[in-house]
Amino acid sequence: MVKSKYFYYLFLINALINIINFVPRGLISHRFSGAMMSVLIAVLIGTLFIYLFVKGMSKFPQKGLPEILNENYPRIISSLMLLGHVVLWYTAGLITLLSFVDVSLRYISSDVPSYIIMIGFLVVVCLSIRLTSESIMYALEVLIVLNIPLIIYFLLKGLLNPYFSWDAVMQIVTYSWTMPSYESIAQATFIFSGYINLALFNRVFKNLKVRHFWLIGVMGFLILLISFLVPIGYQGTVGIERHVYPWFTTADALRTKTFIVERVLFMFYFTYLTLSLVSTIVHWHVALEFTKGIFVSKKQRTSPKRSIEWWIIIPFSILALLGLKMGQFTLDHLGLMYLDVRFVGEMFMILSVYFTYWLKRRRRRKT
Amino acid sequence: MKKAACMILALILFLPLQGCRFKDIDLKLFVMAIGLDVSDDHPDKIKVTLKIAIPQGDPKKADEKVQILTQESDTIAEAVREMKSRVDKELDFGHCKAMIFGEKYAKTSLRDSLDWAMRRRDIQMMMYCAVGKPSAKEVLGVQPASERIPVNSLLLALSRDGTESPFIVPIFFYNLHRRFNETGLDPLLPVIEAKSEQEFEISTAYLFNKQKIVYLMNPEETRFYNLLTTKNLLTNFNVNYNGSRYAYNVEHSKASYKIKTPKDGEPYIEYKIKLVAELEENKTESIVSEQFLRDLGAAAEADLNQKIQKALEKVHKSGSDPYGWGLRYAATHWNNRTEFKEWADMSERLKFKVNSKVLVKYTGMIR
Repeated sequence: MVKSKYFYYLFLINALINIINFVPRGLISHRFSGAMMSVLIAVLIGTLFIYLFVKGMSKFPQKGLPEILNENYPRIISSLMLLGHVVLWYTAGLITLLSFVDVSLRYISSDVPSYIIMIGFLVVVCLSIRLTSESIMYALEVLIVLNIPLIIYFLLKGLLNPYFSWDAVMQIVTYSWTMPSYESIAQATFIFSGYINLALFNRVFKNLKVRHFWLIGVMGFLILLISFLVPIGYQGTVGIERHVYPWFTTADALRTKTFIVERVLFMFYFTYLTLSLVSTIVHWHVALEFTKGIFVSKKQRTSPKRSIEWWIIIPFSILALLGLKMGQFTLDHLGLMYLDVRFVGEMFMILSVYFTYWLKRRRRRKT
Repeated sequence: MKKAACMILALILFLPLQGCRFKDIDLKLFVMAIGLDVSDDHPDKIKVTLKIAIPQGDPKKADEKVQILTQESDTIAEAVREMKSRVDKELDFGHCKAMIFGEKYAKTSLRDSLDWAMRRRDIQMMMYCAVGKPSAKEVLGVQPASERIPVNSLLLALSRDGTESPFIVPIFFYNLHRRFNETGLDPLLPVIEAKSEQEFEISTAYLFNKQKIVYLMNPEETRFYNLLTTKNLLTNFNVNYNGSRYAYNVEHSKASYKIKTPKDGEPYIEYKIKLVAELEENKTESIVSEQFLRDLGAAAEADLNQKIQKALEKVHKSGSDPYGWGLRYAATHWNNRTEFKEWADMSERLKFKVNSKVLVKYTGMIR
């Protein structure tokens, strides 16, 4: 059982990892056509979703989504719903891994073949997703606590630099009154969607009470603004669109004279390496547990044997290795498309939780 | 049994890691600076000069070993590849800290070389850029007697880490790239002039429009550019007062501007400059009084106002906008569709007002 504060870590890991998962790129491509407005709307929607989902899950104390669905629906329906969610969660982790392999190739060592980097990541991830949900939460806490001071250091370094162009940032802010498109809103809400991991981690929360929803809203708003506007302050309102990884080019533009290494890029890379691995571990852990939920034995409703995990992890890994065959543009499309589809998936998830609760109460009244 | 199988599997996974293709430091040549010129014989070919540092065993021994390579080719990439067959070790661009454009080359176009350097993953964003006079090759050939590490004298001068001259405008590579793309902000580059085999001088700067060089700022205008764009510039100014010359040293400086568009009258840009200074040179032998300091400050204000206004008008007339007035105008106006057209329209009628405040606070060590 873990305390309620771990909910904030679930939120934070997604909010911090957005840089790897194409959120800045999506927003930057809409910077003259409604990105600022979609940031504002996303903050409202994101906070509302968090509120609704936390309230919804608290109706099912200490139960994860697999139990909730398996208890209330016929087998075939619950399996299909779970399968849909598995695909979404698996893709989330997959995109983080693939784009981080790409970043490693581009910035660190282009000489090492990509599948070796991927195998290295997969070994860490696959061994860790079999841990219990509690241990994953503790690991998440430690890594976030270790990395946040570094991230704050990078940010201060970036914002206090005299070459940071506030005029370029203000120029984008003056585009605030442009109507946003569905994609840019969906992309911006990604940073809030850490809460959705609660669908599984609800199992380990001891009477979850999330206080200060406004704090999540404010934090999300600041993180979104930073991840969208800081690259623009460095690369300009027009120049930014040509950069494949806006945040890594921005980190490359920073220099520390007296701290460990001169190029901030390398420290930034290692910070985000740990963060994206732990984010993948969280996402794939959820995907793994959901898949196990599909294979729960019918009669006894006991969870399947642990050996089945390897039969889930092996296809996960093979798919990830096959994913390396994707070209740069396919990965881009997949990443941005995932952000759009995920938004619908979240709405569906929240609705299904409330609907299940309604169904359960009606049944109870009848009997 | 199972454990043993797992361990063997883990060991097998290490097998592909044996031969990482990273080259050791003694098999590398570090490119410290790149120079780009137009070829003398074929005007459509490019002449690439690399200044290469040869790693030394003992950093305390001060004998720098440098190799300079020059190659002509159609593209920069091709020239670098051709150079690879002229050296014995791997060329490493990871430490390249300066990019010098020959004067002739800068007069045609810089865009292709910017594209090349931006695309290459190993070239840093915080490389210093400058124009070399008479050519990049000659500037790279300069070997000052005070230099201990290859190219370091250039870097120390350009970065303000060593000498802090008010006549040097440091331009980072990412800054140059941003300026080439941004609407309402134009590039400028410091000019390095090779005086002899052992000496260079950096005191002027070229202004560009988006294509080519349009104007050469003289040392005084360059110093004003630095005064208006950097906080606490270390410099001094001369002033004529009562028929004799005085020099004051600037301790604190601060400059800001506003673009004003009064309804009745011409648009103008108002600069506000605040200097706190001390008297450094007094050619008369009279003792300095408080009243005298105040009067000297007033004389300095009038002098600066007039000179800076003239310098700004000259820069504005050249058609280049290194200060980013256009971007500032756009950043403070919310009519996104028409703002740049408005700016272009009013640009011709634009006037400048300079309002400086010089507080000569100290007389130095003597009265």
